[in-house]
Amino acid sequence: MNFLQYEFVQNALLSGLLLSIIAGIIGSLIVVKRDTFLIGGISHASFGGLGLFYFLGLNPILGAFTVAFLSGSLIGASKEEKLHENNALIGVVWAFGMAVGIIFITLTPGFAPNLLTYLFGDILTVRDQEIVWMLIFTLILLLSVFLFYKPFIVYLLDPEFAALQGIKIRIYRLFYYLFISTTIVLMIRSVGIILVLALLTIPPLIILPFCKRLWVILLMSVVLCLFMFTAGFTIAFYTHLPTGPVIIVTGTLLLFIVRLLSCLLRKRNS
Amino acid sequence: MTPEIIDVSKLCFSFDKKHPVLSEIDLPVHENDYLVIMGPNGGGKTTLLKCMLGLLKPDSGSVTYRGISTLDIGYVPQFTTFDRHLPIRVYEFIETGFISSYHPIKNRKRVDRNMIEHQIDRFALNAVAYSSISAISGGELQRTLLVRALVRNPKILFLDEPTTFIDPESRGNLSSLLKELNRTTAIVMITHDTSAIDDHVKNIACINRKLYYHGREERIQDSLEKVYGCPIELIGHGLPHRVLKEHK
Repeated sequence: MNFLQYEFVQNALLSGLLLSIIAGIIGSLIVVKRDTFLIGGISHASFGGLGLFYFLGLNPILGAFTVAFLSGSLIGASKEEKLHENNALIGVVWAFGMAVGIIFITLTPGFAPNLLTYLFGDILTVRDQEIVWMLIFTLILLLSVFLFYKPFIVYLLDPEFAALQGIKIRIYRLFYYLFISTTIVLMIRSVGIILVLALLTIPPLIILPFCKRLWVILLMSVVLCLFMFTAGFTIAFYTHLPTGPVIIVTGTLLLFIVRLLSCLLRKRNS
Repeated sequence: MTPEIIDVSKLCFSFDKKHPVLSEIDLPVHENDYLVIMGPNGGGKTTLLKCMLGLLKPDSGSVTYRGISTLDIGYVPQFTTFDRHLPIRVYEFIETGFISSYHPIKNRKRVDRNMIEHQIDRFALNAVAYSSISAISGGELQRTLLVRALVRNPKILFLDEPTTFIDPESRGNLSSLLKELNRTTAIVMITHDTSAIDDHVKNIACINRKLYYHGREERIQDSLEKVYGCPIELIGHGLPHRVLKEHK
């Protein structure tokens, strides 16, 4: 394991560990709440902010965060029933964000940056400062889960009943979307805007059919995410392929194999 | 006359300020009442219920609680209002009935396990207590919802269309369970199912934007026809008589 001695490898593995904890928890919630499409919309729309900030000469990641944060808060403040009616609109925002992002980046004078880094990410470019942000967010997330897991489940399950029991569901919704926005932004550099969705959804999808309890899904998703990261990263390192896509392909293959095996086992048992 | 615990007075509600869904509703709920609110789909039943629960804010008029608070209310929602596919087992689902006393630091675990187990026994849910809520039958889910509403000994129980997704046998069971519960708890049930009005019901209100309130002894046929806009046949379990009217 001599490649571990490089600092960028250590950074990559450390951010892989932190992002696995974040993605495992947030991704599970997104999947059980069936908000995948919505989150896809937010993450792709954030590319618009990225492009705008790049054009203005500001930090592009901050631009992505601003748009993700704003759209997250906007969604958090609107009515739940309405959101699911507006699927087509989410599709428009999705494409609009991407289009605006690319237009701004093209308009920017000078050398165009490598778009692929933002779209598909590269975990080898993660810097120390970003790892500190990931660490802070991981701690906040873990503390929130520890303190508010129970009322949050009631909110997920049955918002009306939750409201009747005195749970401030608006606050829970707001934090849910804020945490998602933050997650998306933290993951842009390592896996990219296009692949964020896959990393969030693949682990819980693998484990969902086998679990009756949400906390087991959260925990197992973190473990699976970590596996995807390390396996994908190792393969990418030795094959000189881009890490983000290799991580996602590894995860998707795992999902496919697990589903296939469970299908075969079920047939054999019946 | 038993004292009123909820008093709905001159309540008006609309979603868009143009088309009233509820207009000038007056409705009392008494202690140990068994009130059924009936009416056609779209008649405003669920809206009225949500106003009574404080989940919707009326345009004008008021809902007053007397001697009870929101935490004394047990609520059995329709199956469609909550997410049945969320991975949670029946036991933990019932535990969520105690969520109002949860505090992230001071009170993380106060759940009355004896009460939960007693109610699980009483409602014959032992066999499915550790099954996922997505894997149980309609009748079992209905009883699970009922248990969740009952674990905190509510003074009043609201049920929203409890007979819609359950089979006839479970309906019979539900009816006798509600009768038993009614000895200590007021019951307010909304339904479009005329067969849900049985012997134990004490008061009936018919609603289709406006509300017509009846004591039990009164003939409700006329006002039911008014709100449904067609001839209505009433058949009740264990009623001493059937009221059938010829279709014109």
